[in-house]
Amino acid sequence: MPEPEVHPLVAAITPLIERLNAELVAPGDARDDDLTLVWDSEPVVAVRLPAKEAGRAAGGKPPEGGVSTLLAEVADELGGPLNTLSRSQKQQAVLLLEARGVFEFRKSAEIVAEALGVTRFTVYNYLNRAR
Amino acid sequence: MRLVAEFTTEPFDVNGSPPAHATEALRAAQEAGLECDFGPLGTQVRGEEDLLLPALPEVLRAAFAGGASQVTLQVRRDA
Repeated sequence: MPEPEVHPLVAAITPLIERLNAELVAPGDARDDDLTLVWDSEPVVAVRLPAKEAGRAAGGKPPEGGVSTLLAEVADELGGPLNTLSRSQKQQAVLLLEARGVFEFRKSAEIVAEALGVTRFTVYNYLNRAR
Repeated sequence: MRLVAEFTTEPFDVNGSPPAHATEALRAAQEAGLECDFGPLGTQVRGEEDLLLPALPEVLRAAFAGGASQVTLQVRRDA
């Protein structure tokens, strides 16, 4: 904590932070994607959201930010840029991306299609499937 | 006029080799002489209107004969 005494704001949000699996950091240590909380014009503490949620939770970012984060995550997990993956790995990639909510973002079908090297119509066809 | 058709056959199954409804639909398109691209989420076929349009019923028939539960098809001009 940045102060010896627990600030009332910190005390108030601590249960929430625990529930979100987030982390409190000193305002001076805050990174760009941390959320600094201000009380009476003074930064009190910064909240670091869990890694996988960070892209989605950062409200100010353009929607593409969250999509790129997810694309990078999945590419990492599957071992290479999405357009170089095998047919079945690409399918796996789409399932993972979908499970992580990528298609909640505006324009995501276009961005995902381009990353995979397929057309957006194909992605729409896939999203239109019965389940 | 050249056309492009894209179709996705279901059920979408990513385990193991491509399902018969996908491979059979592809085979029907190939036999009709269309240029085919067998993609991860669907198959894209191109050709002259006179070649492509009459091939589509065969493609659909092959997909359902191969066990498809649903086929989504889109046809557009080849830009």
